[in-house]
Amino acid sequence: MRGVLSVAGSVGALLLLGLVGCASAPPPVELQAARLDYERARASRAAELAPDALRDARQALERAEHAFAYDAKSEETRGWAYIADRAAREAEVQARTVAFGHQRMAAVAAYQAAQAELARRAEQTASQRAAELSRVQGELGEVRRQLAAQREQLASQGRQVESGQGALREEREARARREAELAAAEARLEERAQRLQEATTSLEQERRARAEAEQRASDALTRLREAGSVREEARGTVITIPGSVLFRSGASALMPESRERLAEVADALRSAPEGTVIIEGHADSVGPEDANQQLSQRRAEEVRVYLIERGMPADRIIAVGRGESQPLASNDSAEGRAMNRRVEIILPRAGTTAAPGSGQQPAQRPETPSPQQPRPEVQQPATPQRTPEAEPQPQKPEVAPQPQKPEVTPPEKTPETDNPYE
Amino acid sequence: MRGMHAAGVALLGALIGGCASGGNVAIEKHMTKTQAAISAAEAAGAGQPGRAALHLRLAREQLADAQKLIQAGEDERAAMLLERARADAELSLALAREQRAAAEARAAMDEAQALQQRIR
Repeated sequence: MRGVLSVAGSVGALLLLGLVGCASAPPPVELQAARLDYERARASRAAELAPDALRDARQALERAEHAFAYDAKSEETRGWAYIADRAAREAEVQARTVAFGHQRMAAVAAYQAAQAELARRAEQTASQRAAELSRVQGELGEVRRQLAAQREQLASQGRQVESGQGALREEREARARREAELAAAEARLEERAQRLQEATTSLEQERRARAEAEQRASDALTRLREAGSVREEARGTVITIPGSVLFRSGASALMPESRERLAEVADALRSAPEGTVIIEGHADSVGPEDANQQLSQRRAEEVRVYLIERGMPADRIIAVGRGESQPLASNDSAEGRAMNRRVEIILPRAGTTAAPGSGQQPAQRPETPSPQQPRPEVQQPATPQRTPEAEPQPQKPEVAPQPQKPEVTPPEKTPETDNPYE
Repeated sequence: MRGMHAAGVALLGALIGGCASGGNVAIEKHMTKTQAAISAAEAAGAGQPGRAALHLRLAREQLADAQKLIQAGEDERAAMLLERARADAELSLALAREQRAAAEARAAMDEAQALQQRIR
């Protein structure tokens, strides 16, 4: 400000000097331009930004004004005015240059601020990334730890499995051995059970067969008993079969229809207790006594042979002819004679098995029903048994349908009627 | 500028004090200063097309005229021409510097603006 005042004062002095020097002469073109340019520079920011240049311009202008005051048209006046004009413009240019510098510095500052902001943001992003990275790394580490733990667990499980497999294998083998032993023992037991079962079964079959046979025999006895042809006597169970059922009149061959009746008797006999069975042939009193004796003997033999055919053991049967010696009823009536013509089968009681053996001496037997005289016609089992057995068998086929025997001829005419000769 | 001021003062004193002899040494000083100013302007790029180039040309022309006057023995006139040439050279240098500063400022502003746009 002080400079400005002094400038104004100097200009005023110069103007005064000019007016004094050459009052009438107009200023040269250079000086006019210098004055204008100086004023313009003074109004610009040159005083602030280029004060030295502005001062130089003022001094140059003062010299021009001095010279102008001294000699208005001199070369010196125009020269200093020219210089002052350039100096004023230079001051203005310098001020603008400084302003451009300020602009540039401001731009650089803005640039740096922007750069700083960008850097800050980059830093922020980087730190966020770093945080993220460290978080992810932490998670990764955790996952790795878990993975390692799982791996370790798997490995230990694998080891356990391996050792367990070994133990399992041993156990399996031991079990296989035990199972084989058990199977062998079971097979032995099974075999034993099988044998036992077979034994039991065969025993059972035997028992059942025996029971059936006994039942059959007992049934047969029962039927016979119901028919009234069985009775119990002191000498044993006596089965009586009427002669008309078994034989044609005067014949000693069994009639075919009689076999059914005898089959029942055979069944009953099979159930009899051990002992000898006696078969007795009986006749009525018609005809000669010795003929009746022989006929009754033959008939008893015939029945014995049949029973042997039906499965009775031969040594358990004795055939005896009694002739007309043991009538059941009076021979006076036809009914009585029919009752007397018969065959009796005696089953010995338990304890009376000696009967057949002693049957040869009927006198000794206490159970002998009648006190009649002992008959010599009771034949010894040894001799007569053998012969009739051998003889009647071949005879049977022819004998049955047609009795050709001499003593049979007369009764053929009246077979159904009561034969007087019998 | 200060130099010019001092020279001006000396010149003014010579003029006031009448024609002093021994101007040979003085004119050489003027010549040296003017040539230095022209060289500085040239180094600053004032030769490129524009207002700086105009004043550089004026400075060179006046320098050449001053040299003719020196050869003709008219040192007093030559000194004034040299001072004028020096003023033109210095203005040319200032213009060249202004041009460069303007370009630099514009470039800096462009860069800053570009960077700021990256922020937004």
